[in-house]
Amino acid sequence: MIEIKNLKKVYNGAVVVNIPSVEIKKGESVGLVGNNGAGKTTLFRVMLDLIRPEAGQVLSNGESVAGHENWKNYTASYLDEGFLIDYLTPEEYFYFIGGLHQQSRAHVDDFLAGLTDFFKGEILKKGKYIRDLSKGNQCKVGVASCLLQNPELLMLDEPFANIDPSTQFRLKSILKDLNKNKGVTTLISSHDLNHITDVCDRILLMEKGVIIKDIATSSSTLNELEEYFGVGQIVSAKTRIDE
Amino acid sequence: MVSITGLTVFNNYLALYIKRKANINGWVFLIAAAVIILIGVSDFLWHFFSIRNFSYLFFGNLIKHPALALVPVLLGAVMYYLNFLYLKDNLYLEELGSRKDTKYKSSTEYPFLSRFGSVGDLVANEFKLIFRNKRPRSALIMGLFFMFYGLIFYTNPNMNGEGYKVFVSMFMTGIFIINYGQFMYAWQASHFDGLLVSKVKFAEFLKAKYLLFTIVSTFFLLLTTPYVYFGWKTLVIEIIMYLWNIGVNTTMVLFFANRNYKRMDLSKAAAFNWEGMSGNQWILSFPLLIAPFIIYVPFAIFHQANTGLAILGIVGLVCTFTRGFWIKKLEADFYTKRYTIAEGFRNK
Repeated sequence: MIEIKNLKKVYNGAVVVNIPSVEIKKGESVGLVGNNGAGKTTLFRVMLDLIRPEAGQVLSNGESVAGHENWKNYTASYLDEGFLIDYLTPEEYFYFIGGLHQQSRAHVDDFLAGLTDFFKGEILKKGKYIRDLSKGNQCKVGVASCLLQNPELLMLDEPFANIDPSTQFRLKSILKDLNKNKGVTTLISSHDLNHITDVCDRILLMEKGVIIKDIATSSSTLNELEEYFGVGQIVSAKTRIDE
Repeated sequence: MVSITGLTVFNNYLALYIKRKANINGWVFLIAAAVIILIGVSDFLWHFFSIRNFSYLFFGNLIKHPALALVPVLLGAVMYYLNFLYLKDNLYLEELGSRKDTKYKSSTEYPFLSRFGSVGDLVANEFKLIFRNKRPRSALIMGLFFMFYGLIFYTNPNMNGEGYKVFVSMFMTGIFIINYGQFMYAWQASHFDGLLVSKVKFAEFLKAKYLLFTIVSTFFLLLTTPYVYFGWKTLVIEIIMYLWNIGVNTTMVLFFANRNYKRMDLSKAAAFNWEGMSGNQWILSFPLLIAPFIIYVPFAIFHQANTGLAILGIVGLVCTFTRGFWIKKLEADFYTKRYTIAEGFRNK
């Protein structure tokens, strides 16, 4: 599905992404972990053709994402609030996105009715613009609009960061359902090692722009990651690096 | 002396008060400006009353009754107190916000636009952008204010030449294109990433801009039709400049929009706000203002003004009908600059 070749991005002389070769197969669920500044978001942006890499390319279904539009038909992504039109109400935004994918309003309404649990009554018919919603609720709107697009490839940047615990669990089950039952390829970054190892079958660990570990998730993966992130700290305290 | 100081104080606080109010609601500024202009016009033009007589009356009596000096001081004090009250009431930002939030924000639709398909959706979004954010809304209201340009120029015998009419007409039907277009696409800076990854094709995005400009300019043209009172030719010139605006100026504005990399915050007020300004805006205004005269003036000098006008209209029409071509050019141009634009807009 996705192929990254000799990818390199440099900011002010510092290499922020340097990936010689990575392939993500159709139907895989991939988690991206790494401390702040590891280059996760930059990698996402390059993959979405928002940033021009200094070298290399990203292929989606065998076609370079830069200069082509086909990938936009089957790729849905939410990185930050910059993906939302903040002066619209959530309903207007969903209708707009649905309209881009030739979905009628009735279809969008049906679809949103299926997300009632996920929204917990905080999104629809509240009479608020997206800009007046909390960060967590904005994230819900973003994720929901991704789901609305029926994507084959779903990319989310830290979706667990701002939402409350019960929504985190709902989101996890939604993501698992998409991947296992509908064959959607998912690529998710997170600082929450518990969630990411739970949702993803494969973990990519980034450090300073380089993928230093590529692990198939097993029962020992969580410990392995905790060891990496907890270097020099008391292991028995089970330090979780959140944020 | 005392009374003049008093007047100055009064003026100062009145100005402060109006500015504060204007930042919340653009109409206040319009009304205040209209009142001042009305007073001025009714003195100098219509001779309803004379400010000079009024001031004679006041300052003349002042010499006889020195106690009158206290009136302006009192006015100043009252204005100061009004300001004080206003500020005190609005000291807590949170209250301002929460009061606003209680209003239910409903979804709106523009059925008229839905016939244009996804381009119509984009225009609908842009209209919402304009109506729901302070700064673009002010840009639109200021455009309405420019409708009075005709009254100022057409009634003045010294500035009644056709050259002036070309100038005034261009402003009246095109002020929105200039005023709003000069900051493009920074109005959408906060969700530009989202637009880029969405299925919106850039050609459609551009078509939406053209449609938006055409709708607003048409609306303004309709508003200016009463100026036919100053002769049918006035209307003809307005229509010619309207064609020029939607044909040539829109394309020029969008060409410069591809070169605008500065992010803008929509929620801030328009008056005295220089955010998002750069040399770009100044460079932009020159060709916009000068281009029609480059065509018109040489003809006017050789007493062929009508030919000049006809050519302006024809160029406008031709550009309107060849939009497809210009959209392709602008799109190709955009693809060479998209990363720079997106990165500029990401920089808060």
